[in-house]
Amino acid sequence: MQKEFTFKNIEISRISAVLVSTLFLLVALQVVAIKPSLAATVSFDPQETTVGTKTSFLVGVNIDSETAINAVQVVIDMPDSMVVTDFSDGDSVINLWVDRPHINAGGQIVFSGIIPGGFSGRGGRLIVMTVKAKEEGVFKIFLDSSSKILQNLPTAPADSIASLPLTLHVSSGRDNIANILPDATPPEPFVPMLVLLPNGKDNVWSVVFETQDKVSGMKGYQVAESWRFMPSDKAATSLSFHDAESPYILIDQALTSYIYVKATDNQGNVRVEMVAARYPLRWYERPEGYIITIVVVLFAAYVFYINKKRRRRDRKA
Amino acid sequence: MKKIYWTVILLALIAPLSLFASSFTITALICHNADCGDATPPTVPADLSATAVSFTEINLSWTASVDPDGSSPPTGMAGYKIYRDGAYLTSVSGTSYSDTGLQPGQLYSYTVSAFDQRANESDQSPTVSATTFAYSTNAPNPSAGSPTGTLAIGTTQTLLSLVTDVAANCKYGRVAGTTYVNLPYVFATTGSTTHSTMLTGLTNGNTYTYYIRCQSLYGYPMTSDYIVSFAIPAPQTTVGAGGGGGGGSGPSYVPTNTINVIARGVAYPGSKVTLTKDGQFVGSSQAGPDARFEIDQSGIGDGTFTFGVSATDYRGVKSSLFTFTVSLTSGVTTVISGIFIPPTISIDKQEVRRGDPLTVIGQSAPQAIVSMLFHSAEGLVKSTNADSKGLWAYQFDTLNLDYGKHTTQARSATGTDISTFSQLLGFTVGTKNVDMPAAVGCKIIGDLNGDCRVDLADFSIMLYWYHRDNPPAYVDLSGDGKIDLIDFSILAYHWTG
Repeated sequence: MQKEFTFKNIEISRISAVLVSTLFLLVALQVVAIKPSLAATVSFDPQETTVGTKTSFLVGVNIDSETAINAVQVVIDMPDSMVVTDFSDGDSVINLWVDRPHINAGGQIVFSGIIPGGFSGRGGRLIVMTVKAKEEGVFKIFLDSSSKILQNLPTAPADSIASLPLTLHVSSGRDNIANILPDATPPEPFVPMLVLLPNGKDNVWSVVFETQDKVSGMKGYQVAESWRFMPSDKAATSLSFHDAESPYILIDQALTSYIYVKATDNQGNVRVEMVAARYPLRWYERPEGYIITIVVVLFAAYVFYINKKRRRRDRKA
Repeated sequence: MKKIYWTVILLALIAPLSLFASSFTITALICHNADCGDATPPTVPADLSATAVSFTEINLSWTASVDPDGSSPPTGMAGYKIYRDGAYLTSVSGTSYSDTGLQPGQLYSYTVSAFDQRANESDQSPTVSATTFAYSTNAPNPSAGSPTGTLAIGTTQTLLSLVTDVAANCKYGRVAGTTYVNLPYVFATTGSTTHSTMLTGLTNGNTYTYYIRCQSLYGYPMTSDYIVSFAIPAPQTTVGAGGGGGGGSGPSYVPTNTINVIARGVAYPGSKVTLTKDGQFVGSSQAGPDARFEIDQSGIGDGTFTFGVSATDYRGVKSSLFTFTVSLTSGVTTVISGIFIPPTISIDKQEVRRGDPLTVIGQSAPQAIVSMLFHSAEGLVKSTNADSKGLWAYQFDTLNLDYGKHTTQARSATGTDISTFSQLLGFTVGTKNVDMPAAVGCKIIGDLNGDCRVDLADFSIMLYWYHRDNPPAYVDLSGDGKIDLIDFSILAYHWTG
């Protein structure tokens, strides 16, 4: 089966240099003047619905933009009677997160990220929120005016934002159907990289990583450093990982360890990727190596002592 | 008494050994030469192979050398030295290397040696050679199609293969007379002179006919089918009679390497075209002499992905990224066609004396009309024509501009297609001429770690400075003294992946 899309952005009959130039000028001047002629629209999915207080329900946050945009900072005002219990970035058009979705001190939902090369189109998913209503009534969820959308241009001009609030009619005792898709797929493959970061006067080695999960979304990352080299599936179960964010400053600045990065999605599927140790330890440099060396030396001394004792006994005899 | 005393000590010391028994062999207890300070070099790299992958690139790979301590992975190894035509080229830590920037149609010879952390260098491996793809205006001439005749009863899969006289991309289908562009399946291994793909789902009692067409890497497709046909007989049975025959449309077959996305379009003649997925590099291909390119990407799951396509011109200047966001479904090949990469653009001066010319050059599709937009109070558009290699140049009379800062960018048009804009370049019209500084390595805005790319590493460096005081100037792309969304947006604009 095959789907086909063709970019035929502008059709011109009887091309002449003059005509083309004029057209360029008209189009280009629009860019130069950076007129926010076509606002980006942030919308909620659904836009109006009736829910109950018994269980949670899902609210999608989407974006439409005619012009190419590449950076998004969204702030959502939530009514006190609503509580957001979870976020999913599965299938988000945002590729790299500056601030992962979270609730700030003022109770607002905040997230920001970038789309390298830009995005234009309709119905681009930003995030999905899992929401629970605490009481009956009619409530609205708004996009806060501090939200920002920047155009994919060298100077990153702000685009104007249009938005429609989400109206929720909440009645008690009603069950909600949250269509949570089962996800058995691990996050997308990714390549962690070593990067030198400035730290005071010195530089420090850190590992950077980022991936997506297209179904349930990313839950988080963990890192383990080990001198042991092992396959990813063994590393996932046998190493002691701890929570990490990119960039992660390495404990082993000598780069003698293998670095394992575990990405986990919201339904517990994991993918482990590894950065090879740049200067792996030799056997005698490993912790066990010292003990083995001592044991060998003592064993040799013991053999020498026994032999010496035997020779003395033989001489006496 | 003394004997008991020593025995107890010995046992106490030996006991921890058992804890590490799985990690060490008895050989680890032997002091090897290299570890004892001797100058024993690593083993000579084995199985060196050189494969031309484009007009200007040869890939090398070899088997890892082992340092005499014998542990796995080898711990004393430091890297490998690569020699091209007898001269030292570079050293690497891995067991592969891509030699780029070569001349088309040229034979190159390589050897590799290994060196350890004490700089002991092994002998060089036996020499291997490869010839970069040569420019050719001929369509590929296929031969040695396989399999043919009758295969064994019960065959369920077989390798479909052929060779071509020039490097090419090959596709196949089951309908005769289908043009190269419209053939539905790409060979799993293609892009050189040998092409193969595994056919699966074959069943007894059928004849399989495949219609193959190839297109040279320089963009010249075959205009007639090359046919590979074979049969798998039905098993002889003694029960019943007749029946069988090749009913219906025959069994379905599924290429093992299902293509998810095919991106087609126009870049610059012979340029390297790269594809990014969600901002990360995933593959590249070479545009033909007509600047047409095709990149296939397989193994992608369901979901919404943002792909970016960019091209690098003959001077190594990278175009701006052409992006598209698509939702992919397993088993469905999504073809994105009509991609028109914007031209590259460079200027010769950062400040130009008013009245002196500013030279603007770049590369685009062949014979394209390139229009430059000079941003000033009024906005000026100038046009020029690219030659058959897509090269274009224009001398702009700066008397048309007032004193002050200005910018320029370009886009190109061929037939009915118009590209998006190129990168935006800034210059000043003043009282003296100041040439553009010679590029040291590469100079890309947003390349914070100096690796000639704008990618995840640069994003992470910027993220490190996000919300921190006094970010360095090279990270603060907007120059406003802080790292915020604007800096990330500028980084995203200059993204190369």
